[in-house]
Amino acid sequence: MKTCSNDYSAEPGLPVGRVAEFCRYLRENGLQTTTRDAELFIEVLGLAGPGVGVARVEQLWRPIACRSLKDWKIWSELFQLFWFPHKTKGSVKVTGSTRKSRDLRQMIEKSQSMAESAAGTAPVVGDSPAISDDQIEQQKKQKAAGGASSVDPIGRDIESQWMPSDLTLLERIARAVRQQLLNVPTRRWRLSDRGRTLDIRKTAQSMIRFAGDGLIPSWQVRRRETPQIVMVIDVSRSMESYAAFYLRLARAFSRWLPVRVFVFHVRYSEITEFLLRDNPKIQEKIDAVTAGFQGGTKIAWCIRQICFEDNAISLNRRTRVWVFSDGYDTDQPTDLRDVLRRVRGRGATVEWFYPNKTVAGMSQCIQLIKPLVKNWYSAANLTELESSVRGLN
Amino acid sequence: MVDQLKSALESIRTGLRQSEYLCDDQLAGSIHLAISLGRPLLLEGDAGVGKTALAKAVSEMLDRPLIRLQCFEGLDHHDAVYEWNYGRQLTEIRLAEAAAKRVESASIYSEEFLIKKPILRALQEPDGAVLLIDEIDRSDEAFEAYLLEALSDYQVSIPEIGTVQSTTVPIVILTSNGTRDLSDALRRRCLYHYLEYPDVSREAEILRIKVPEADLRLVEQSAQFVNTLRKEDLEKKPGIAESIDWLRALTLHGMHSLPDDPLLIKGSLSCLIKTARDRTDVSEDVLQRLLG
Repeated sequence: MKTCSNDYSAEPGLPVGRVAEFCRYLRENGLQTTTRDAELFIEVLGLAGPGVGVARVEQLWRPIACRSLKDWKIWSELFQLFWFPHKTKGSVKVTGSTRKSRDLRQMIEKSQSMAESAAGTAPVVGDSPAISDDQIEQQKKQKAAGGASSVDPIGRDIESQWMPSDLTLLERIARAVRQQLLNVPTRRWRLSDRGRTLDIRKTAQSMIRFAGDGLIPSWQVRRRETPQIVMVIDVSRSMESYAAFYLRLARAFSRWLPVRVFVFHVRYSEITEFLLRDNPKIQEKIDAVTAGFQGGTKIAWCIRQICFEDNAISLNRRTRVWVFSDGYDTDQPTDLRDVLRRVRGRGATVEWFYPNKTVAGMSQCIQLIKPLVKNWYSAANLTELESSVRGLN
Repeated sequence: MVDQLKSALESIRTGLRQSEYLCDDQLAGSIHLAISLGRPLLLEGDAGVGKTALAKAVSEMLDRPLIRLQCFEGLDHHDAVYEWNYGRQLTEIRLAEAAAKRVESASIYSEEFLIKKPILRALQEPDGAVLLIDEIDRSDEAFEAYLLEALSDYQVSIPEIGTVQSTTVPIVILTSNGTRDLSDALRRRCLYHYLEYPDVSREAEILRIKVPEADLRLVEQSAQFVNTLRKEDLEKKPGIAESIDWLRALTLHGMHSLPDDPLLIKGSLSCLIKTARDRTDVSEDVLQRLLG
């Protein structure tokens, strides 16, 4: 790739072609850059004039390209990586062109085996930090002490046993959850011409306008609220037997409910967009998320990042945070309590789906958060989940 | 042309500074784009970082009226755009009846009988206005959808009259505290800027401007203290307004620098700490550490 000189006008034909490539690169990295944005980029270059500095262009393009805090945070890095790849460390070549189709699971597994064969590094996913052998051993021991997979193995590979009846049951569960949660009338009212109840106060107020000679009836209906569901799924090593199951569950739910889905182990990643697309490659991509199981689980840290540090979601009284985890956390036990207290403080509710046999047998941090979690749902398999979600309200 | 851009950004910074608002290069760039491209600017950030204050400062800087629309749950176009003055219409009809005249519907559904609400007023302001749509996340999704026309084409449709187009494009600033996710459609129509808490030196500068009577040493120490306090795990982090209030309180207490004894500032901490849990968490030990 040609690098861009500091003088943007110096490179003939730079704006249109290169800006289009840059926009495509941004889209590949999760930004929702549109053609209109590309036009604005060029318009801004015109406004700035020839000889404008790179730093200035970076500043001026940022408000156009970004749509959220997440975009805002990664902007500078993406800008530098695209326009100045030679300045960044490592040997990754940034082309801006779409990557060829590939088997993601194979790729991750290959990179894992390569990483494992390299001295002193742990299997990693994406840009997860490497950890030492000692840490891995320690994490394995810890997992054995508290994780669902070791303590409470399901004894079968759920993913490979999806029968048509399972899929039907899964869809039935998702529909039932939708029916129970969506459009539930609240105690509050809102004005609506189609309402059948008269808002006496508003109607009386309207009489004042007509000096008592006329009125405009104000009709009202019950306010219906759609909850905002946030699924936070643990894909750490201790959850390896269940993660694929929960991801499939998330995919089914995303078809029927407005959900945002995050997966985490020692880092987190949002996969909502994957779940909404419907092609055979997507399930492969989703499953590949769990292919990179890494020792250690930072539930508290990840929830804090999602809810507060990165503002990835908005918390309010309509938000329902569904955590799918065995509760094995390598953070301090009190951390999870503190972060859930903050989540509750914003009016959101927390519900916990666990694959373990009982809540009582779960880790210390789970015992500490019991008062903060509204409902506990046993969800080791579809049958359990179906009976659990009957009580969802 | 580069010099023009540089001087434009510099004049924005100077103009805002005259309105007692300090901004960095990035923010000046965003405001410059909002003015030059005529696109709404969506500001996000924690409560108290200066989102609303920015709109006020921009309005002072450009010498345009600030028209503010405070959003809330249930806000609809009757509160935001226009409403018919039914009382006056009825009076008009009565007067016409008394004079045995026929009332044309076009005459009572004219601008004369229209009560203009913030958005319509901003669109019709002859010299342009600064329209602040504050806390857009508090309004309903339906209202957000209604806003799209106003924000993309700077026009609103009134069925009885037709489409009202803006004479001079207003500068629109939307703020959000992130209590609800805004739609992609709205975000796409806006420039985006995330306002963060200022660093220590900028905050000290803000405090110096806002509380000129405070001792300089106290100003710097307060800025440092508040900055460190924000790094604690608090439910509600103190914003710049809280910081200013606290410095005023300390100045009123006759302090010229922060004392070593946490007990002496504990009483004034209610300016900074706004929840019971934070109050408990920020114990004397924590205060001692922060002061140290």
